[in-house]
Amino acid sequence: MIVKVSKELDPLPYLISKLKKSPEVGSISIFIGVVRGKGEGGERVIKLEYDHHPYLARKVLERIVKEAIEEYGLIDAIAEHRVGEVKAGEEALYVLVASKHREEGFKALKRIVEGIKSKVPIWKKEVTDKGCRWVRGKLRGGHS
Amino acid sequence: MRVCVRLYGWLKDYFKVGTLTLELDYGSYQELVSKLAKNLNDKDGLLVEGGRLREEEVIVALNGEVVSLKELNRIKFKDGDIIDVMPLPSGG
Repeated sequence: MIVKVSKELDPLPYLISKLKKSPEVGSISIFIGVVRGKGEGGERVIKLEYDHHPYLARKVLERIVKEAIEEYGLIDAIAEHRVGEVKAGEEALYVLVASKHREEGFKALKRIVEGIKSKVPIWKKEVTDKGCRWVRGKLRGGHS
Repeated sequence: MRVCVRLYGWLKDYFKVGTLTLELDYGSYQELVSKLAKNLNDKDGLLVEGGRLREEEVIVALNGEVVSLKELNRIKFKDGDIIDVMPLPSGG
């Protein structure tokens, strides 16, 4: 299991190679979060600025990935989230899950991505050609 | 006793402060909230409403552990405690 919250993401081929080590792996599902270049009001997004709680972000991310591995019987999983400035079009989030079969991989991938969005203490500010605004999170169940 | 309160995300921008030190006499949640609202000059009630932190807006951690607002009601803060007041997550 790899979890990382930092300014840079590891290269995808490197992460995939990490997951392919077990002979049991029959499926690797990948989610790539990309910074949209267009805001909700049609404005041009220049970049996102991510703030985070360094200790808790990593801790909560680790817990989410660990729970998914256990619940779905995954062989392994990786989640990496960028913080700081991320320009439009760049990748901000990688989640990779290795499983025996695709079904549990798809479900686990969704669970981890939703968990990251609702529980990991990371916050994004959208910087556009018309100004900037913090994206407000929504109350979606427990955070502990 | 002195406790350290840290703000994150939009809270830090809106109140223009990231870290503040509060002097507490009793160490109760009510005292913390009251002094926090006063120090931050939260006249619009964005963070504190009716003597309580707005549950639909923030999560709180005490010394690196997330605590529910119900739990906070029962906690006696100690000298040197670090209280993180964080907006709801919006990463991804």
